[in-house]
Amino acid sequence: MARRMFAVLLGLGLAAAMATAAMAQVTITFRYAFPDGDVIRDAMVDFEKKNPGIKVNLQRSSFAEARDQLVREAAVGGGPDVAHLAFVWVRDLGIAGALMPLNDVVKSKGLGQGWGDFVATDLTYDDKGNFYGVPFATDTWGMVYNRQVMAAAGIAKTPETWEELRNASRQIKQRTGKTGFGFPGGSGGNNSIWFLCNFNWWSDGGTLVDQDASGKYVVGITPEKIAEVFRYFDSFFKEGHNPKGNMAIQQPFEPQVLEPMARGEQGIAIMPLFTYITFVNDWTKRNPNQELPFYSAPTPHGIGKPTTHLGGQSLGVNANTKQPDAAWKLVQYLTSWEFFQAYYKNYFPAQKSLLAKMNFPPWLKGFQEQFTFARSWGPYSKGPAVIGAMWNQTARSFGSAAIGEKSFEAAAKELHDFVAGEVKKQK
Amino acid sequence: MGHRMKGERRFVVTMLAPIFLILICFYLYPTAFNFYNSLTDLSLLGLRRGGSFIGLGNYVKLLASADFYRVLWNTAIWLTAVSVALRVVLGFGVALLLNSETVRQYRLVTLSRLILLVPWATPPVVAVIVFRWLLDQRLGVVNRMLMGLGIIDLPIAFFGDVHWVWPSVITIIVWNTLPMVSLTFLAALQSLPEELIEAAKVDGATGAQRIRHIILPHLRPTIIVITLLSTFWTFNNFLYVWLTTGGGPGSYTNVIATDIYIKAFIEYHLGFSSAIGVFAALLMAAFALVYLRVVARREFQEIL
Repeated sequence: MARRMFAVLLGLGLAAAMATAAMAQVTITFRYAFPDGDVIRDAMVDFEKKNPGIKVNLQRSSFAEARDQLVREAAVGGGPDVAHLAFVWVRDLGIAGALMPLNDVVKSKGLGQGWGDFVATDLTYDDKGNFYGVPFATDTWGMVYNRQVMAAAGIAKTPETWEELRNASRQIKQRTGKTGFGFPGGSGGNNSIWFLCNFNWWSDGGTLVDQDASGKYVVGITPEKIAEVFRYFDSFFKEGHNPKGNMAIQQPFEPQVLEPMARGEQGIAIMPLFTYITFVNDWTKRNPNQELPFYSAPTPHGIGKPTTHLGGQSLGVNANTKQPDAAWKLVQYLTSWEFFQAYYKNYFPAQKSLLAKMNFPPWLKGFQEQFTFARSWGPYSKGPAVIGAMWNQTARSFGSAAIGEKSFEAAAKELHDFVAGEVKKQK
Repeated sequence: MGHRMKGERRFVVTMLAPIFLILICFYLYPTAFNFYNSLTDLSLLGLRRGGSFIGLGNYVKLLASADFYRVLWNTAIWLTAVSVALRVVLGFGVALLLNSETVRQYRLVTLSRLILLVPWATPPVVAVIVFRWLLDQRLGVVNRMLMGLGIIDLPIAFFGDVHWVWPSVITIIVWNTLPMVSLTFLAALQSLPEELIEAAKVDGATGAQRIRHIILPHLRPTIIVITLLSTFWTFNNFLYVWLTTGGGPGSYTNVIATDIYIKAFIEYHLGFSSAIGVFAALLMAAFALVYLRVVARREFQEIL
């Protein structure tokens, strides 16, 4: 009898414990959009251990699709609780009602060393002062050189100006027969020529979108300067030191660009920090016990500084989330130093205090220096112009001129008028 | 009798109701919704708010745009007419080859059909990636082979040079979709009575005469159907162009499907993009009308 009683009580106790556990268990979804999801999977196990009441469903998606997918889902009340996004999407997604404003939660629950410690936060605000995303990891672009190819071409000094870069590229082709500066010149939606043109304009004091003293958004560049830069990048193709095939390549991480660099068939490349780290890691695995032939350096400059954009990844909390507290705990975890140290080793935290703790190996010194010249997209993102539309139009106009469909002047005017039309949308 | 007819009608209606419901929910409603969107200034980021009604503004803008006529030309001529014509001609040739005495004589029927199925079984995304490697200017096997054989001195930028970009894109489309056309023709060829060919041979008809006077007339309905269906499948295709060139260089290879994507998801103009979609649907409806008049009506008449 006593044994039966004990069994019943034990059963009841277990059932009660399971019910309590089930009630306490909260499940949230985190959608991660970069290819290295295994790293995040391991981190989620660690997060669940540290937060026993929270279970994380990890979803994977393509970064190219992440923004559009969230917009579509959020419009009908769906989507992940926490989303992995780009810096420049956050504001638009917040205004579209897809992301939750974070002002109150940051104030009441805190985040890292404080909101002021995060970089590029200006990109997360709407006009009313609400901010919608947490800068997660930061990135910028820099130049990568193969010192063996440079030496074979007799180039002792790393190019510092745009003209020096073109001369070096020319010299590599003439003296070694190899590709000089091999950059992607494709016209697709996620093209690279947009970045290259902007780096050139910025380093010469121009900018497609600017804000005047009264706060009004204006076009900050002349059609002549646009045409000059189009001509400059086209000359690499026309002179043959960047192969014409690169006119169909969109991204700096495509194998058609990286493989010749890895094989020593190309002297100079431009790429984001994360691409460079992955590239070097892969090269080291392929070539064990060999000295790394690559080094990085800041991008060239004109009359100004070698300016690139401060890009990176953000985390956003879905406006439809039913579990904002658990979602915020995940954001806090993903922005912690421990997470970057243990799991996110190939990335750089978007927090000044954590960036200062980072150790840059010699081959990354150029990027370390480049960070000091990087700027946020600022008026491009905060203004009325749609970045994606200008991005697309820049490459289309450049491409049309490069293939001789339009004159460089006509293509430059087309882009100038397009941006003028975009900034006119301001209220 | 009348009671029985009513019962039968009710049965037919009940049986057809689910399919009509599906058509209304998944075809008619989205089409109507898209048409409504095309009359608004809806933005991708304004899905929650919805767009404001602007009448035929998007259509006026579309028809006034010189770029759109370029896109239309690319879609109608390069993407569709050239690639469909090539598929039909090559598909017919491959089918004749597979049906030939020689293939049978050397017992290559099964092997040749298996080989033919490989491109068909390859997903388009994979086909595009493979071809991008094969045709790459610096690393591609095709360039190395052509240079090795002394056919060219310098590697060709197949996707970056305007002289080569369309032929290269069309090569991928034809490679990937030719088997379906060939196998359809092959099936039609096998339904051709052997006696007809034998009789023509006895009468002294040459190979070309047999093709012209016996095979082609026999295959005529198949050719019409496959041409129209290939036109439907190709006209709206997004993938081959987007993954190879992104619509570039410039807008040199931009087609309707990629333009719809660019306007909706890169420039955020969902309303304008919907107008392009409606325009494309109208063009497709014209093809469908031809299809119904030429093919389906005859088949329906036979059934009824």
